[in-house]
Amino acid sequence: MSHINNILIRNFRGIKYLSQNFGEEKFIVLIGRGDSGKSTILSAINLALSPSWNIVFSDLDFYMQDTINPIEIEITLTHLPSELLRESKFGLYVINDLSEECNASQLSVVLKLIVDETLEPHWVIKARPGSDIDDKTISAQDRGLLAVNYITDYTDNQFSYNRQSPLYALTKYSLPEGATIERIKSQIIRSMTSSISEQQLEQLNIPFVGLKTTAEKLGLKLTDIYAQVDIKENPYTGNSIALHDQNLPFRLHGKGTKRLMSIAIQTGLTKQGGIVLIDELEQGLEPDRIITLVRILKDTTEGQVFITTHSLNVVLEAEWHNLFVINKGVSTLSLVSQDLDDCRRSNPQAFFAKKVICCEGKTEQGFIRALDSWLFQHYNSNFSAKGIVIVNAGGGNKMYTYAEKLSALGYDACVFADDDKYIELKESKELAISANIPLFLCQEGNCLEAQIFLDFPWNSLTMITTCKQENFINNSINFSDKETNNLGMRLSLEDEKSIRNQLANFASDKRIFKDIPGGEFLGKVVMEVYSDLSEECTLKKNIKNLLTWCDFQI
Amino acid sequence: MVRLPDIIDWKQYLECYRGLLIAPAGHGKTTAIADCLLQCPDQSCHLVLTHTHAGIASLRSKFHQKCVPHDRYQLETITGFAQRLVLSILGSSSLPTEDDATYFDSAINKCYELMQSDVIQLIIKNSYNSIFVDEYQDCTIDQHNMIMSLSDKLPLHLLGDPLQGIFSFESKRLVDFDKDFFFFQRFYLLNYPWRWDKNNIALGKLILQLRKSIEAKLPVILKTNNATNFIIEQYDPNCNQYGPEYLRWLRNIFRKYDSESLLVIYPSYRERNTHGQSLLRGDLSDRIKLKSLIDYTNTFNIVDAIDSSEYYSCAKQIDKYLLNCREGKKIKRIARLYDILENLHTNISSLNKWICKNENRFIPRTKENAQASIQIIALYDEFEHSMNINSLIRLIDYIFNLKDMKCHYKGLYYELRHAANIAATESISLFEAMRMIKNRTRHIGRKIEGRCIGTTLLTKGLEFDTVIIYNAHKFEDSKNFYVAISRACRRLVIITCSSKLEFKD
Repeated sequence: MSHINNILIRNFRGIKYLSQNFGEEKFIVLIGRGDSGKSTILSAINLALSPSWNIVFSDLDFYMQDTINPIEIEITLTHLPSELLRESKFGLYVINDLSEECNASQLSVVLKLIVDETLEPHWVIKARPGSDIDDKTISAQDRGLLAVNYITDYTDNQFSYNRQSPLYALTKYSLPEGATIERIKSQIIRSMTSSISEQQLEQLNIPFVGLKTTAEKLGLKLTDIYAQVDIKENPYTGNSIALHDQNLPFRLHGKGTKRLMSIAIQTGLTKQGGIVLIDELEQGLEPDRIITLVRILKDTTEGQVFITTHSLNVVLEAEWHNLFVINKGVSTLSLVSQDLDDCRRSNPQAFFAKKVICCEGKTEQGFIRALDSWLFQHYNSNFSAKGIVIVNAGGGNKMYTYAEKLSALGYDACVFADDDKYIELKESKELAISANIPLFLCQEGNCLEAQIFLDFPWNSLTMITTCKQENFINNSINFSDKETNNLGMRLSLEDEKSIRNQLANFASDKRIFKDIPGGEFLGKVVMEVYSDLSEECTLKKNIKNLLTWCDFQI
Repeated sequence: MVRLPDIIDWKQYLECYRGLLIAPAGHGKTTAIADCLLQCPDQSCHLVLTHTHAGIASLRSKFHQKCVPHDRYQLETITGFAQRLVLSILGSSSLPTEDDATYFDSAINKCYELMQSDVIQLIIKNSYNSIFVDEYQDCTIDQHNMIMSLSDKLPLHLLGDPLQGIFSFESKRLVDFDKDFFFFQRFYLLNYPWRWDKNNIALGKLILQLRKSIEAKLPVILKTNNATNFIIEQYDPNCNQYGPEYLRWLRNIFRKYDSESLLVIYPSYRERNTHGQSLLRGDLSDRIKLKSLIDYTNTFNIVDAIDSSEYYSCAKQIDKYLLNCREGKKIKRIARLYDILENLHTNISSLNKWICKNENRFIPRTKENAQASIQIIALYDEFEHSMNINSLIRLIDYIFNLKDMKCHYKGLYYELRHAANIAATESISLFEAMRMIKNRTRHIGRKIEGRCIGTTLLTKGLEFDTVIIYNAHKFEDSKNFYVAISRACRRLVIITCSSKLEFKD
């Protein structure tokens, strides 16, 4: 029984300092890119609350392997087992505000694990701030009452009945009065010994006749020697009694099956209020199983579940308040706001990205996709290699708000959008600018296609107007002769501009490019003439700056 | 002989949410608590509070003897409990310093305030199934309030005897059994005089009879009853109490009734001296004076309060002496050493043979004392040289053990020496070391046994084979008198001027 309210980690593995409050949240999904410290958080919790007393630490567990600063893991716990809240145990160590109303589950203590350069771990409950008493050691047995279990793929012992295994804990509660697992074990050993028949061992006795004579010659009188099983130590320790299915011990089952089984056991335990830690929940599980599992876990009512994940399905299925984003080197986790729900549901991949390009709509999204293909063709690299994810904000001012929110979560976000509603969106735009979000926008008043028509090399405009069906399947891409007849002609800049405007208006009125294929088509043709674009034009500048932001040296 | 039952059924008392058990001295209150605990369900834990460290010691040994499981109870003094709670939760900054006279009152009041918190109530409720408080008659009204708030959500079992509700002159008003227990169901424990069961049943009955006349507010008539070992030694109030005749008579009494387990009780009372000042009698110096009169073999112990201020003032005095010496202040070092020795209650007449205070020097002795005299000066030189506590204690030690030196208050000296050891090893002041020792004693409790000179207040709850009451006619109230007589198991000797005692209450 216990609930983690807050964690504070110092100098542990990749984390120099991290402090995070989880409040009453019962299902915590830690997301973040690889190496950001998700699993380190689970390990920290597990080490601090673990009931084992012989944990071995090494210099590698210290931040930067520097043992001068001790490892400190502080966990603020609520929903504590009443045994621990006795005055004789840690009742006087509660940190609650005395003037506030309080119920038993809110009583809260801080457990602290310290490892200094001696590598010797110490577990204590911290004294109240200002109190005259010292921190008090908490024994492994008392830590066991906190019922923490860490599910990884490395421990097959979880399917056996040793004292630390969750199966042991689960079984203990269900045994009838008087029965204990130890008693069952000793019954097994007794019946094993008595079931060995002497006949089975008889053949081993054959050489004993000669042996007896030799021994007697040496002066050793033997009366009755025979071979028998010598039970030096209990062969049925907890580890050798294990869970089986269809005659196969569970440790030999598939990864996914094992994972689900151990989660099932844990779920049984969380009903009694334990804390379950699962590293990479999705491992070995099919998407549908992941979804079912998350649905069950997010409804956790007793106990608390911490998971790490790289699975889009988890991010999709979890609720906004379940999600905590970790970024390497930061001192606190970032909380996902409810406002991002649409973004998350439509672009869950953004939550695993390094950089996010927030596109205004489908045209922009298609355009960037074309840019991605172009990069792959010409430079054998692409966005995903750089951890860049494209998000379609779906219009309005959302590309700005998404970018801000994602940026607040620690992602590098930029906006790629037109600027045709510049008066309406002035405020949102300014907010994004003040949040230092790079904006790659068309000139004020222009949508993307308009900007393209304006900046496209005059002589190549027919590439758009006369595109073939196989390049861009849109039957309505029929510009009237009035505009297209003059294309390619030598005209004054003013006349060119007027035709460019007419084309832009036409395309935008007919909504020719307002979908992903439309955007992709535009992107493709723009990149074909990329080198011909004037260095001064907005289109070229935007693409160039965007690529630089994405860390491509073109 | 009437056999007392082996065990009393406490079901009704235990089931009662607010119960008050009234039990005269010696009627097995301690046994009752032990039996109650034994009759409580397994897995339950009860807070048992009492007032004195002596009370703790006797409850603990009773629990041990009756095999009460250790996890069934938490045993503490009321102030100790309050102090522990307050220090744990609020820290020492919430209380005055320990040598402050208001220290324990503040602890009680702070603890009362703590009890108003939901958080603390939850911890208490979670820790204990019920609360027992022994010697409830000794509770001040503040302590009573604290205990009532402590047991806000728990059953409360009080034990006490209104007739033993004695208090020192400094203490606050005590609970009133007639007014303060409105909601309590009362139980009486009168039929089991355990204290006299195996010793002197007749004496027990006699003391119970005296109790009845006290309860009825009648004067107490004292008359020797040899058969029950109830002895009255009367003297003429007009005799010269410094004259050899009186002293011979007095010493003879102590010789005649000597016992391995002997308590001499000196009454506490106020008396006007010749200048009309009101003086407190029966204090430490009075008891030491009595000891010097009767105790030739030096076998009596002076019973003092654990926190007797002398411990702290002596420690402070030595700390200051050391500091002054180290800082090279111009003080008369040998004269000040003399003051320290005087405060340790060495006999002045002997001390004057070794140190001349006025001239700030040691007196060179001759003949068989010559060697000792040289040794004292050598030790003093050593102290002058090192200026540390160890060398000072070695010097004092040597003077103490001189042949003609006598100390009538060895307890103080032993504690100081113990504190000096700690002070030297822990590099702290003697005062701090003394505080450490006293805190420890407070928690562990101490045993008072053998031949003792004490007051009713300091020996309440204890029992001795023989009790000699010195000047019984000086008792101001009947309660102190009752506490004094009920300490005796086998023999009670009352020294008095008058065979009829009338009390002011």
